[in-house]
Amino acid sequence: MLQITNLHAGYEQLQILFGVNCEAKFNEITLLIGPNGAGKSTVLKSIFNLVDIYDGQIRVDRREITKIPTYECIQHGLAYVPQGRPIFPNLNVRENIELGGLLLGRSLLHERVEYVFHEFPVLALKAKKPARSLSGGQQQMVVLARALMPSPKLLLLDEPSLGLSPVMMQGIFEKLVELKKQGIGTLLVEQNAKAASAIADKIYLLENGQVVLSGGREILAHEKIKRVHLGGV
Amino acid sequence: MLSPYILNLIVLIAIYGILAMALSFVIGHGGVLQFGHVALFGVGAYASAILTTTYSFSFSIGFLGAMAFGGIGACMLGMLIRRVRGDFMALTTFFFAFAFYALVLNVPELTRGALGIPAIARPSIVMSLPSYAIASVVTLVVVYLLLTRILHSPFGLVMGAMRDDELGARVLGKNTAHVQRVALVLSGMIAGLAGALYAHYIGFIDPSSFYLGDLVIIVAAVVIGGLGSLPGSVIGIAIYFLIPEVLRFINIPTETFGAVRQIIFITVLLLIILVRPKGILGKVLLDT
Amino acid sequence: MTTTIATQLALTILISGSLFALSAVGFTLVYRVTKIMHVAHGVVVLGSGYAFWWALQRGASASFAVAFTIAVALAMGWCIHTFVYERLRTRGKIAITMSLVATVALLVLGQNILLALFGSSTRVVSFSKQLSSADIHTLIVGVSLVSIIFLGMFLRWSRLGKRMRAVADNSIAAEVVGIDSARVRLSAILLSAVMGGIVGILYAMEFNLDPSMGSEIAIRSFSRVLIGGAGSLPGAIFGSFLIEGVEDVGAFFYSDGLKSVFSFVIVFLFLLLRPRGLFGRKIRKEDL
Repeated sequence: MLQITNLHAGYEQLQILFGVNCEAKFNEITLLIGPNGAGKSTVLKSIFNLVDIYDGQIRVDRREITKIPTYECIQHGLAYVPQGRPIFPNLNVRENIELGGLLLGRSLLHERVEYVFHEFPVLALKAKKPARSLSGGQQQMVVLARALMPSPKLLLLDEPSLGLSPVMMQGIFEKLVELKKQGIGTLLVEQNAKAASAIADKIYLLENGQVVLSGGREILAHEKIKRVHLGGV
Repeated sequence: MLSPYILNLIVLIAIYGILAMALSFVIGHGGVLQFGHVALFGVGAYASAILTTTYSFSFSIGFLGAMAFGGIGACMLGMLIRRVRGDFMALTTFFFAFAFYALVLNVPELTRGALGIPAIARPSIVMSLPSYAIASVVTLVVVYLLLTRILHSPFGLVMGAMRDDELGARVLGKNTAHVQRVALVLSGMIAGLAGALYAHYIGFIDPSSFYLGDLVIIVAAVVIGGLGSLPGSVIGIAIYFLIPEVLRFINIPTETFGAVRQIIFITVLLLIILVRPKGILGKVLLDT
Repeated sequence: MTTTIATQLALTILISGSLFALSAVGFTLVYRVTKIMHVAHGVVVLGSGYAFWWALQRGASASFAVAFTIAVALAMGWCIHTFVYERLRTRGKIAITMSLVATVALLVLGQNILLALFGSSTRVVSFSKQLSSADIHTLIVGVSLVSIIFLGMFLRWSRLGKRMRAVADNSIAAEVVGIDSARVRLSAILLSAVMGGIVGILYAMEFNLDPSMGSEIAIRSFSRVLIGGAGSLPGAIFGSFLIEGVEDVGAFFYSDGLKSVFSFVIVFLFLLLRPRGLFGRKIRKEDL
């Protein structure tokens, strides 16, 4: 389980999070929703030490990982997929994916690449193509595949549906449910609360850098959410 | 009164101070990464030297010519950097300085190439050292007042906005290209003037005074003195010229004197960049 | 008659072209991985040349001199990286303007240190007893091209090479995936220093050494990089031969001095019309 306690974080002088508490279990899909600027992405970035952490603790199974160097985070079973499909544009698809498996020995690396190509057959076809030549949806698959390489316990996804068609988005969400069955949990940040909430086991509503509501899917009936996030599309 | 040694220092600090203020104006206030400044200094020096020696024009023509050509040079530079931003802009201006040096070296019919131009006369009213010192300091003060006045005007405010956020300024409807051009040309004219002052003071110029080493010194003075501060740049220059005073007390072989002085000043620059990028009196940080 | 001139020209282009291609490649590697315009590369090259000369002067064998030079080059690269470049980063982002000022300052600092240590007279490395001029030329072309090919293969196939390419593409994503980007940056600078050391040795064998050459080397490597495209390795190589061709043909028909003026004109044309060079990617807001 990933545990965030009393997190205060931001960018230098600009504080974004004011005492965030939340948990993400490895066998669940945890959803963070909230308006723009609420700090959802900042929560994920804090876990990987990409922002300034002023106070608070981040723990993985009781082991504290607050502020450890970014490149050490994957050693704790976490895999982060930042917003915007951050592929390595000039490397080919296979190289992109292989770079996810830096910790793995040779044979294990091959095994994982096979597994990943099995999960995302499209990528197997495009293995030798430079990653920048793929479509948006395919690039999203590349970053997801790359994240899965080190057999993570928890995926951290920042708005994976951004810029994708509803069909592709559904595909991603279905994938996350499949992964949950395989024992890989997700901490998901999404703008599109309605679609994402269908797959969520636990939901946190973030506003102005604080958790204002949390619980299972029953909180969707709460006034706040219905009014602000689920109204319309 | 003051010894010739001190008067000499005063003149040099004044001349290079004028040059540094012009650069500070354009970088620290306008955010234009102008690393070709030394070329405009050279243009002014050569213009005035050639006009007064080869063509025997009067000194007024010489000085005005220096300013005019400085402005024209800046204009050309402005055209070159129109399409580039950030480090590419800095690089382009940098190349401009080198191109100028290469050009001067290779057009001997006009510039006498590496031999330089000797016997540049001084206007009779400032023939003596004390009078030249007074004239230089007066020019320094006048330039300072002029630049300060401009910086406090609406034009100056746009410059500041442009430095901090060029896109934002454009969105607000400010013609940043125009402001950039005008600021550049003005700095070019002032640099040209400094060049003329230099040429008629030393009496001899050659391409080596307007090259990489001098460029770094001027930029260093501006950064050490502090970006966004005109007096800061003059202080930076003063520090440079006062280093030999410090070196007196250390036993340094005379051949390495020049090199050691550069080494010290540049080390100070690097320390400032790493430890206190705002400089001594600066109020501004680029790269935010 | 014309065939001999043509071959002569082609040889000069080949020799200088390959040498400066290797230099341009060393610079490009650092630029791609660290986003710093590593102008100071010129002084790594020159410093290595001097180290080579010095070691031979002291009676060292050629192989020892080579090893010594590479060690010196590595030391220079390490110092520049650790004491300056890495310290200009906050949270992995680099301060662009300041890094440019710093790298040029390092170039001039280095040149002055060489001046203080070795004096301004030209130093010549002479191998005329052991190697003929033709041997030296073959060595230059051979070693340069082999080094470039080796680098290409290293970047394409090796683990560290892939990590360098990843950091070059997106250093944050690289960190997230477990790559220690600070170590990768250090490796890139050290690798580039080794190449700079090789260039320095070859340069010392063919040309004369004097402290001001650092900036010449930097500028010449630079123009090639800009023309080829600042992020592109093949571009740097192509740019090198292209510029070399222009310079040498121009020098042949006009005069040696105008050599550099020609390449400056081309550089300016590119900066004006196609800033990304021949093979560079469109300059976007890169992920720093």
